[in-house]
Amino acid sequence: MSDTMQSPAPMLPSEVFLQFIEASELRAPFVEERGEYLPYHEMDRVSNEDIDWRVCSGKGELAAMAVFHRRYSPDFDPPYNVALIKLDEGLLILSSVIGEPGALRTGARVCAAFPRAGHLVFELDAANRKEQP
Amino acid sequence: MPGKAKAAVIGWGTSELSRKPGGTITDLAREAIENAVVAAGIDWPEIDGLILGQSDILERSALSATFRHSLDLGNLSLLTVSEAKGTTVLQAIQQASLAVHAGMARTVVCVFSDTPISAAASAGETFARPSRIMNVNGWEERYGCFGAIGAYALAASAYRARYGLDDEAFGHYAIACRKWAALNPRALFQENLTMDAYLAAPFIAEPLRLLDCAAPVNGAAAFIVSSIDAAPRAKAAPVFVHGFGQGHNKESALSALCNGGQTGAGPAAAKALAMAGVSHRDIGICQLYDAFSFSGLYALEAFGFFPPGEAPALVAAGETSPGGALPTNTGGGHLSGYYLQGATPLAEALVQARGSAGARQVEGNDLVFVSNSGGCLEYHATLVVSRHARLS
Repeated sequence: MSDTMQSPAPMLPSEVFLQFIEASELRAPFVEERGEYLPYHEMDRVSNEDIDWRVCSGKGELAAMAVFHRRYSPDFDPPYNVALIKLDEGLLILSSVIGEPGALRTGARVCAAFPRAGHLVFELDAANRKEQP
Repeated sequence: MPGKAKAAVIGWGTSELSRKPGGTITDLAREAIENAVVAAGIDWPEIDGLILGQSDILERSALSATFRHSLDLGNLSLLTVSEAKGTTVLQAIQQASLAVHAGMARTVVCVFSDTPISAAASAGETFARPSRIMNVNGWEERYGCFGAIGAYALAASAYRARYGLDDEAFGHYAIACRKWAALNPRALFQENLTMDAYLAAPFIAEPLRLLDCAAPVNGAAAFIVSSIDAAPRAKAAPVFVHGFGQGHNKESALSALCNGGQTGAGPAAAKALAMAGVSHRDIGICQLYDAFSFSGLYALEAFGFFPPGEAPALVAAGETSPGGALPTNTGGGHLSGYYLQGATPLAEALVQARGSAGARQVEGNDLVFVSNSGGCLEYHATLVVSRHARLS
């Protein structure tokens, strides 16, 4: 990758991904040649022109959750959670989950939401709430 | 060549280990090396190799090749800086062992120095940089995912979910380590730990509580690796390096933990054991990198000592405690002993292998397994050491 003034570097897949997020869209990097999605943390290994940015269903499963009880930044009031969601497309994504703390458990079905423009979170899936009265 | 050792550790030493700010990286490193040289009983001109273990929380220049000029060393035939997250110390020992085995050097000093505690920042603050999980610029900052503990808490959460563990599962591990620490006068925390006290400790990043976290110190440790033929000159009994391995898998460790996959831990252990020509059953003691209680439990399983998912119950049953079948982290480990990254498990392995562990000495000390891991279980390095030059 070049960062010289003369030739602007092509956008990295992670930068393209962030542009979609800013537009409140969750997309996943599909590589036609391999016939599979690339894990998000590995997407910058390939050139963006080889990626087909597919719109995600937004549905997935809560795979792991950490609840922060310490203040590390003035922007985050503890307790707050950070979660790994396993999307139905098979990719893991780091985000946070909205919902009653007691109802947030690993294995729960979740779906993507943008409560404010450009800010991706996940909330408990409606179907999931019916299963857990 | 199974059976015959590849190298020997003929002496080791530490600087003062402190929970308070003070000491520079180079001063601490020099103090540790001086103590190791005295312990080995060798003369400075005998040293012909220097491997500088660089902590990844420091500036790149903190411990550089120029450091050699601050020591009274002769001509060197090996000089390098090594950095591989939490595996730095064992990787340095591995490089030194390869070098003396190949004849590139005869006597190599490996040093590691770290100062996570400063006047401006506690250790928790020093380690509380955004976790790097997504490799998307600024992503973790958006969610407040800070510190090594952020990634480890996620990993621990996935591990709990996979095996349906309750709140006490990690507590039993912390308690087992504390039982060893009670026998170690150098351990930071020696007082009895009950499950009630463990559960009463505040969460830092749930499911990890304060007592699930390592106790970092400022300090340095130095280890002198010698060729086998030159080992007998040492003042005290050498400890022999028989096997070593590494494992850094393609799939990320967090992904493996969430998807039921494997990290590089298994291959790293298999390689070291095969090189030594021994099996898991032959290992008498484990010294594992356990910066968090969960990672100690995970290590016991991933390195192949306990079946997957069974470490919490086996640890609760006392298998790793004093008197147990597999004494583990016999100095108290990172949780109750002290956290000097990869130096902690190595130093205790050497003390146990030599038989100089005092009240906590394990009888079956013929073979000790040592591990380092870093990057939230992404990188793994292992050693098999023994007081015997030959294993039959």
